[in-house]
Amino acid sequence: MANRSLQSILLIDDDAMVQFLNKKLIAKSRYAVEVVGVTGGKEAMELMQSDDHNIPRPCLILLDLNMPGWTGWDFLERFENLSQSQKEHCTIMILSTSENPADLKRASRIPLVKRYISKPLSTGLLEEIVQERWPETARL
Amino acid sequence: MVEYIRRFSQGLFSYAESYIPAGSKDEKFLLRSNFITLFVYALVPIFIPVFLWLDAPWQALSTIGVALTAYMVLVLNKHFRRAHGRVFQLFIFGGWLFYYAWVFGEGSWAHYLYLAYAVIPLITFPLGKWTIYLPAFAGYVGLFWMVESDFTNFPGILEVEAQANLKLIVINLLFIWVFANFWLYNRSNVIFEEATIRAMERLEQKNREMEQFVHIASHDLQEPLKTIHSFVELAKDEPHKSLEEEQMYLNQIGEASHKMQGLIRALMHHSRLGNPSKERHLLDLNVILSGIQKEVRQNIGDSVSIKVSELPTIKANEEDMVTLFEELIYNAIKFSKQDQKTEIDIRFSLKGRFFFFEVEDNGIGIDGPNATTVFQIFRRLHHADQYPGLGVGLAYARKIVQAYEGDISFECKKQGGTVFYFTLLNNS
Repeated sequence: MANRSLQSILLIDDDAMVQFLNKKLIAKSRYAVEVVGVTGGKEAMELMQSDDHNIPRPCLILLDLNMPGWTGWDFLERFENLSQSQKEHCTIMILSTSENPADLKRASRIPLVKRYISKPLSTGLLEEIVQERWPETARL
Repeated sequence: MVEYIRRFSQGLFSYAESYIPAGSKDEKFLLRSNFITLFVYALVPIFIPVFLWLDAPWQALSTIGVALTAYMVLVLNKHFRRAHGRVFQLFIFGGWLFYYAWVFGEGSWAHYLYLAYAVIPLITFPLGKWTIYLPAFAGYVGLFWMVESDFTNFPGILEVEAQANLKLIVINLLFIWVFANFWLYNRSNVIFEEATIRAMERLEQKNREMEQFVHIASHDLQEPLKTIHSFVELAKDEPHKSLEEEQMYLNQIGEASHKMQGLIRALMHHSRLGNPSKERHLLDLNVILSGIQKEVRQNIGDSVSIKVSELPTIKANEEDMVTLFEELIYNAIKFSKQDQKTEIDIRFSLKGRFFFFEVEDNGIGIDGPNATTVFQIFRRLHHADQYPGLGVGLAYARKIVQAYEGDISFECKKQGGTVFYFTLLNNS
């Protein structure tokens, strides 16, 4: 049974500005969540696989597609190969500027991807997502 | 039969109005060869009665027969080679010559062979273009037979009756005419079809690339714009922010707009590269490379050594060639290993109709799951703080190479480093 409250968010985006903005936005929504940001798919994968208990398991991954090195697609491919315990209670949403129909189509074929969000993220949208999936999320 | 005749006559005309671009050297060649064909056609009905009436000059006629055939082959030479390759071209050409040597040397055999000569293509022609080789085989059989008989039946060695030969020559000329027609049709058809398929493929590829390009470019242009928008929103939403924060927002907006400007400039530059309307003239690539080498020495110093082999002269736009080599060289310098001297080796060789270049370095190599996207615009394999840049250098290089009908690829060496390979059409 999935968690009814959102504990932590993992932001995967190579652009530091976007990271900053999203963190700011999440903070503004006053949800009691921990936000971790990484700049690439590879770093995110390392984080997912680490045994460090200080790093929270992300409930929600906001994934950018167009990144140097590993793209979002590469991350998704490898994510599927993770062990069940590593990926449980983990929801992935793509957060990308790409409005390329090919990308949208490709994302819709991957069951792991629960939603395709066009950048930028807004407070309204975040509210909607959280209310829909994690209605019991605590607020500060 | 009707279909045969229809295709027969069509072939000749589609040969003239060919795929080859208007005003090009090839078009002039085609028009000329078409004129020659018509000339030959006109000759045949005139010469046959004339020589029949003259009754004796069979020696002259046989020479004309061979000459005409040879001429036909030569006229079609270029296109034939393009469709079948040089080896087969020589094979066919040789076959024709031997065949004529054979039939003029010995009369009695020839009647049957003439028949075969004309009938074989009639039967096999619809089966495919390779049937064109069958008559040539007959020629080589003839050569074998000549060798067997110690060349006693070689033309001019054996005395033959003039009257018999004259008839042969008449039939011969007729068959030249028939066969040349088939040949023309077959050639034009094959060349035309192949060219059409190639052109369609190129067009499709271009369309896909264009679509991809628009998506990538618009995506990357939107990113800084969205950042600016977000920071403006943020600034509006938070009325009580510190001066420091305000400064930081403004800095970010400034940075994003600066980045956007860079991207637009890069796009504009990209669109200009390889443009065929820009002036192209003969350039000595050695001169261009030594210019770049000098510049590299001035900008970077002795930590980079560039070895260049003897390069060709090419008809190209100077800016294109400078940009192409500069981008590849600076790419090698940028992605070099920190603890060693950068060594770049530029090699050149001829490959058929193309100039083939190799640019080898001893840098960090190209790695990762998306290595093949390095030629796409704005695509980088490293984070901006690791290796700053817009991700345009190799996209420029590819655009230029493609504008000169070439291709570019790379290979990573086991011991580290990359080799870029590219071709440019030898158009000079």
